[in-house]
Amino acid sequence: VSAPKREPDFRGLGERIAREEDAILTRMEAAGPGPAFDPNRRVPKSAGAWVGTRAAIAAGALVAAAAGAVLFVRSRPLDLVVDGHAEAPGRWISAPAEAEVPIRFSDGTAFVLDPRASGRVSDVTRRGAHLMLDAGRARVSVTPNRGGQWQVTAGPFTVDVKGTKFDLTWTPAVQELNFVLTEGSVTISGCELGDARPIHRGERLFVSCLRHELRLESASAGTSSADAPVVDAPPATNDEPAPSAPSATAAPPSPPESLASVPAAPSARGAPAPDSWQSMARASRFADAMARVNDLGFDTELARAGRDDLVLLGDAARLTGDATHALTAYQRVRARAPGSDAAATAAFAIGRVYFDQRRAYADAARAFGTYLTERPRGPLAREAMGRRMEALSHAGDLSTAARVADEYLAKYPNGPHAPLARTLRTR
Amino acid sequence: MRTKPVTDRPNAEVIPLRRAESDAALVAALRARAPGAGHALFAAYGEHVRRVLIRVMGPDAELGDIAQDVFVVALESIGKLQNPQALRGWLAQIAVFQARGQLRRRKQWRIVGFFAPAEEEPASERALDVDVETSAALKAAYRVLGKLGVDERIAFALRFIEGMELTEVAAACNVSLSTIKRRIGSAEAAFAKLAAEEPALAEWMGGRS
Repeated sequence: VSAPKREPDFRGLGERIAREEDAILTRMEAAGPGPAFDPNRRVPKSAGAWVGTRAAIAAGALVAAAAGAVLFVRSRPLDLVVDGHAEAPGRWISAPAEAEVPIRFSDGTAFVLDPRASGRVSDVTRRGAHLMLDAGRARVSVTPNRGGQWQVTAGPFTVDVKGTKFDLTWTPAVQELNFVLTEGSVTISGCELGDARPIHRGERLFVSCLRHELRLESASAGTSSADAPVVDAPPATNDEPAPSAPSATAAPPSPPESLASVPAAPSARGAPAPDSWQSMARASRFADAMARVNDLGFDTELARAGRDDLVLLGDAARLTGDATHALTAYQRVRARAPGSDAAATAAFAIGRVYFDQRRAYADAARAFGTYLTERPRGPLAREAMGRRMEALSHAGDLSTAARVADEYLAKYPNGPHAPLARTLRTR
Repeated sequence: MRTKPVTDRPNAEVIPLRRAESDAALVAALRARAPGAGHALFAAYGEHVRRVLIRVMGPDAELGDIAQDVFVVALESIGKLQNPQALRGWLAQIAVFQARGQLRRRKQWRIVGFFAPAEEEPASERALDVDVETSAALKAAYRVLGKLGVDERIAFALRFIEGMELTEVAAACNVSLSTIKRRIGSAEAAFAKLAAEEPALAEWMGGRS
């Protein structure tokens, strides 16, 4: 008769470890206070305190060490420094209202987030990095380098960069992109642009996803191509276009300098007052907009807002870090206009709130999945699938993440989430 | 959550601190960027954060630096804390997030680099200062924990070493209850398998029929 199998006593084990750890902490405290807390000091990230602690490498291993060091240097990703502090990729970066935030890499490449802009560097390799711009303006200067792999995404847009300088402004509340290329050339994909639209030095690009409007113009010529578009905007395909959205051909010509502040489509009830929270939000003054909303009463505005304003309200709340109000507004959109483009966009935005602000990855994955179900070929489909895969990975659901990774690579082999997809697929 | 003994005297009267009120005042001061508020936060919760960190990472040489980062992040994002009474749990969440980042970076470096970080042997003799058997068991435990996936390691440590309830572990890791159950289940299976190769852990693993 075999002895009954014994179950490991993890609780007992944990108590033993905890007892020893508490004793270690007590000894550390008894040994004297550590360095005083410095509210302004961020410790540079390292791989651990291994430098020097492994100094006793056997002399006979020197050759191997040298070979390993070469491998190490070649494999090492670029260093990332955010606002003067060493940083790891993935952290959400939000520039304050009064200052820009420089993001620098060890090869000399720099992204500078303007005040109020936000985003994150989602991936850093030895050849480049991927900046995901949530909102606002980023000034980008990429050091030319053979084999460089730099990418900037903003909403549905992807900019593939080599050695280039450009300014990019993304206003998610109205889904508008302003792009000015000062050096080099890039390709931009997404929304009205289709795949890999080349942009050349000195060109300015404006795209409105909501209004299906696209303008490409030469800054040196100072002429707007709204009169004679370089690229024809495709016909509207949204099932619920904005009631008064102007068509591409009806859009008034505008000088280049006006590109940064293209007015939003007026609502059916007329253009909002300049000091309304809607105007502030459309001008990317999200904190001011939310302050105005709170003065007026969030619930009052929630009840009063039309569908498009609800999306705007959700975006303003999300981009000021107010996850609770953002979710409330987005969910109201979905309840009020089920099946509409706005409802699908709200599902995507809900996913972003859960992912970026709540770190509730399972909920985020569900929300991105909802968008994909409702708009499998929508302008945010690629991003939604990538973010869903990422969320599933964070939530620990690696088998589903791997399936989504396969699907992603089949559809978007060069998409911004392709490196992550390859990692998940091969696990 | 496992609590530390308040006193050795069995009949001593324990007067609970009015934590909620003091936390609200502290959070208000932090939001107002009152002078000294950051230091007050560190003084009030430094021990709590260090304890969460040592649970997740073991007695690590960088605990102090990571604790410093936890409080810097907390000061930067205090505006996002909606309920001041949740300050303690919120700090634990930041601590777990920072520790997770550090553990993941080390794993990545171990994959791409020639040198292995010292993670496998964080408990130096100096830090442990215990008898030979305890030292061997503790080192074996950290070796096993170091081989788990980072998320599984954190879930296992908070559940069994810190003694948190499942809901508390889920909150600290900012994931759903079902996710944390899955992670802990996965960690238990992996830990048991790896521990079988560590004789020094046999007694600590004990076991029940």
